[in-house]
Amino acid sequence: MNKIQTVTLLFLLQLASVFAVLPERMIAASSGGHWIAVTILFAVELLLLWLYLKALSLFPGKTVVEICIGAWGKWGTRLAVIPLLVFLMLDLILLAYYQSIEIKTVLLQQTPIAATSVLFVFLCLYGAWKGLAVIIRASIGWFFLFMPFVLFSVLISIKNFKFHYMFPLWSGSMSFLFHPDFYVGTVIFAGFLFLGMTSSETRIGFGKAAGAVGFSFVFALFSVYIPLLLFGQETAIHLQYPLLLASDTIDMEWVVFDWLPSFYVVSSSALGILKVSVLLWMFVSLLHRLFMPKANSRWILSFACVILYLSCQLIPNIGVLNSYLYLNSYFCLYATIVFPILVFLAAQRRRKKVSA
Amino acid sequence: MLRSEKQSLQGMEKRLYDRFRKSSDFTCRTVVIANEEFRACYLESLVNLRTTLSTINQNTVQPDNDWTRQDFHALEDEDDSVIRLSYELLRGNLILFNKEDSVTVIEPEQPDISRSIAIPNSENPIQSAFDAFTEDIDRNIGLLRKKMISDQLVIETRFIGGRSVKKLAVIYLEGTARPKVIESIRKSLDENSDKELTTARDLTRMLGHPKFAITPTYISSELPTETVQNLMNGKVVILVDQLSFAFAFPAIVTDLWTTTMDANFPQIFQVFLRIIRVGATLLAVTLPGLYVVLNSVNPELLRIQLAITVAKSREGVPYPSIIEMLLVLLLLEMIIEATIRLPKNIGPTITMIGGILLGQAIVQAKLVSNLLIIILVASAIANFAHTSYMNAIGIRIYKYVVMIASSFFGILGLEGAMIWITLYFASLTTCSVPYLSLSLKGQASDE
Repeated sequence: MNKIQTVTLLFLLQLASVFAVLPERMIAASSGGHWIAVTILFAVELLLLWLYLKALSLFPGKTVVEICIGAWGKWGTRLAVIPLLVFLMLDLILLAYYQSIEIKTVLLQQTPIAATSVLFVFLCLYGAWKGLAVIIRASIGWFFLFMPFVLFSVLISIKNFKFHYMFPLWSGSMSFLFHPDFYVGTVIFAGFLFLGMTSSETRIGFGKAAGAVGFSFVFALFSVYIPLLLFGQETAIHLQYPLLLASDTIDMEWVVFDWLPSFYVVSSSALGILKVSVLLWMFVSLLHRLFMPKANSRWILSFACVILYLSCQLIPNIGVLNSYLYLNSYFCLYATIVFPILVFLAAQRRRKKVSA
Repeated sequence: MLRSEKQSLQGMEKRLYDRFRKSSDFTCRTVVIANEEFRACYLESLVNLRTTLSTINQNTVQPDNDWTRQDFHALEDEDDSVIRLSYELLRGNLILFNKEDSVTVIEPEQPDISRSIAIPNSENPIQSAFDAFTEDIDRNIGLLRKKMISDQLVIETRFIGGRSVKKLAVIYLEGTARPKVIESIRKSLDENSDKELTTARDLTRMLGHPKFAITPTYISSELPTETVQNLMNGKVVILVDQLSFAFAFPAIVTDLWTTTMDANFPQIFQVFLRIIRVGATLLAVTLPGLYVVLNSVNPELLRIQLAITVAKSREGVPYPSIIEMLLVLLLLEMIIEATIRLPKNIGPTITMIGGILLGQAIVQAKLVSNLLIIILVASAIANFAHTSYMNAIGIRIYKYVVMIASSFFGILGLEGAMIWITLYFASLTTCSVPYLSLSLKGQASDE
């Protein structure tokens, strides 16, 4: 086991959320100077990450759940974890649905969503079944298989950039702070939650984690600015998949492939599978550890997958998805902001208890 | 007194006779060594009695040689001594009884029934040593000892088996191989020491490797040079008597595209060769699937000119591309299998027939498209660009999974199959080492 794998997984998870939500939300939330919104988002994430990892480093070898149980007992922890579980389940469903829809629109127009999500959910089930250690190990393989596609789809559009769309660089108003879309963007924080549940030998320090987050920040900027520089704010705000369309504007003679967005979808759905597997694993292990210690975790996992699959079929269209996303952003704020702080406080309290 | 001695001697001989009643090569006869009479029991097929006797007689002629008194020990008339003696007989030793009710076991001259060291038959070393392992395990160990003069080379021999006993040697380099790996191999060999061991699969089952792994969990090699390199890379080598291959455990993902022979080349050549092999791995797995994707599920991925060419080349082919692909792949697999075991002078015929059949006739008959043949040839070549035949088989099998997934889900199926294989490799752990490791030396970084 090596730490590079964990860092890679963190980076890929960040990237998954960046590609899935960030561009359209940021473009919708802010009318100019988008980099401010993105930067604030990532600065908050770094702060939370520091708190989270600080709490973990005080108790090496223990997961967040154990730290919380030590501080507040079993019921207090359960109470703290319930909103997190709701968030995980909602996020899982939304992410799976979002990816299936994207795959359907771009790659498999003829295939019903019921069929594509079978494959999607099955792969996630397989990943979560094998456990986090395996996903962490596989993440390097994933990195080498799919990063070329990510880079390719991000970089090809550069030649069509109109750089004056970048202005105004500074909008002055922080109006995006009052925009719900901005808070939907906090989903990207969910990437670091898994760090608290790894075994001790794969645990990474703040420096390395910050490196991964910083690296993904570059990609986040890319993802927001590529559609902006191609279409401009006025057009981009109306697009459902801005980044996807950005790669469709390119015509490159030397590539044998014509329909370039498929590269983007291939890479982003692979990242989506990765993220869903990790979240699914987290969901199941939290549930198993705190609420159903007697049940076989593989049964819980299978059951969760069935629910995931069925709920994907029940969401009627992408508009409904959006309203759920807004609903989920409340839970998301809890899971990604309050929960790490709670863990930090638990760690402090527990340390005082031990030292006293 | 004398009478009872006689009885016991005859009793032991009789018991051995009973035990080997059905083996016609078991012999007991009276021999004379240094003017004394002995009864010698042995298996004719494994002992060259005449040379053995003359060697012993030569030795006894020398002054102050008292071997007949020293080596003999009293005969215990018990069941387990019969078993022990018959085991010695089976290993090709000579048993001598003297008149004083004592027995000795002598390692005789053996008839020359093992192969001498020759050049490898199934591997083609380039710019390297050309000697290869033979069937005799002691000779193989000797080859390794000669190639690697080091006191850290640990050789543990043990005997394994129930009905038939097999000698095997666990060899590793102390300080280089991970203790955890050695421990896990030792443990599983101890646990299964009564199982039969005749094939490589018996060995992997003994070591508790997964039964249905699609990638080999060990590397086999008949080259001592390569085995030495494997040892230096931290692998544990197991030699089995009468198998002319050394098995190196555990295999990791880099073994798919590295061979230790690369170390004989300049660094940059090695990097180049390895990149080619990695590329070949990817191509061999994805190309047939990609053909199906671009032909039947996602033709819009291709540039329009190319898409039209592809469609034109399939004009007149009556069935879907997945069937087309499966048909021709089946043919190709059969050609590969057919050529492997044929005598060398018939092999070219098959190649020629196969070439004509696949290359020309089948296309002209509009049974498959032109493009398919190109894809097929490319993937077949890519398949055999691997470092060993064993690795190539796993990939040959896995490409069918990729193809079927692609025919259902197009490019998504291809992607899903690749994700699945990554997860599968990540979950594979043999001898306590994850398959996705980059190196076995010490605690070096995993992939």
